[in-house]
Amino acid sequence: MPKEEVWDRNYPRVKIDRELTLKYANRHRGSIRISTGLFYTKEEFEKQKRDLLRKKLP
Amino acid sequence: MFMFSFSEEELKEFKKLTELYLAIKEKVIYLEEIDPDLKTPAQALTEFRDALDHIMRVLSVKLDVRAGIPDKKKEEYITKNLSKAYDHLFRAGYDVLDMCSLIIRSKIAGELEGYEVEVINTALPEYYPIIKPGIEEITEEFVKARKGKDVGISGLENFDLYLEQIDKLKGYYKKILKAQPSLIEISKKTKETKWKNLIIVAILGIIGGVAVAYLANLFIKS
Repeated sequence: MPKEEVWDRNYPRVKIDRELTLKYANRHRGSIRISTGLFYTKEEFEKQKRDLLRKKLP
Repeated sequence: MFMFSFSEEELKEFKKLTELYLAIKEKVIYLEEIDPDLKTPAQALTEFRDALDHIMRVLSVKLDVRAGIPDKKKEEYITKNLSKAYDHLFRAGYDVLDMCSLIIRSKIAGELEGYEVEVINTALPEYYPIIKPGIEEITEEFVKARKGKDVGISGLENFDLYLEQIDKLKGYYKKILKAQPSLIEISKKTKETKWKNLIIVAILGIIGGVAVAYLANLFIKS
């Protein structure tokens, strides 16, 4: 691919998968939180928001 | 020596973008700290990556690293990519602020759990007229904001308002934490008063019962 085309190519959308992330965690250096599973996937993030929203104030 | 410069407008936008990034970064760190499971929002990190890509595209033109963009199109290209960078940062920002607001809201609910309405009202008189409606209003505003995230540079003013709302929620949470000693004390006193009243009612009931039984006995005998 010509260099000029690379500039305007978007990164592929990342789907953060919990099992895959943990499986390959020891091969990569990076965020400790992510490599130890302390992260929200997009779905988990939305679910957590819904669950928190259900908590009623007195 | 090669020099490059930003136009006044570009410089202004870059400064705002940098400030926005800093504000969001601070909230990502804050969210990691207040999250009940200490989790990080991984989605926000991918938005940061995409924002960086658009910023690098701008720099590639400014630094003449890339060819292929005619001079008269450069300004348009820079504006477009700066706007895209804003969009990605906003997406990360709104998600993070939204989650921060819900976690603080949930912490507030947790702090007040188990206290009766009268106890809360006495210990924290501003809770029902000001704090609770304020929290619900902020929650609704975040729900609305979530629906319109791609706002480019023009959304900056709105975003600042949402940042302020988080500070407001933090303020409410602090007030509730400060009111905890009063809540505990008043709740204890209320419970004691209730028990006292219950015992008095029970004693009066027994005395009344005995009196009625005595009077009934007298009536039957007569």
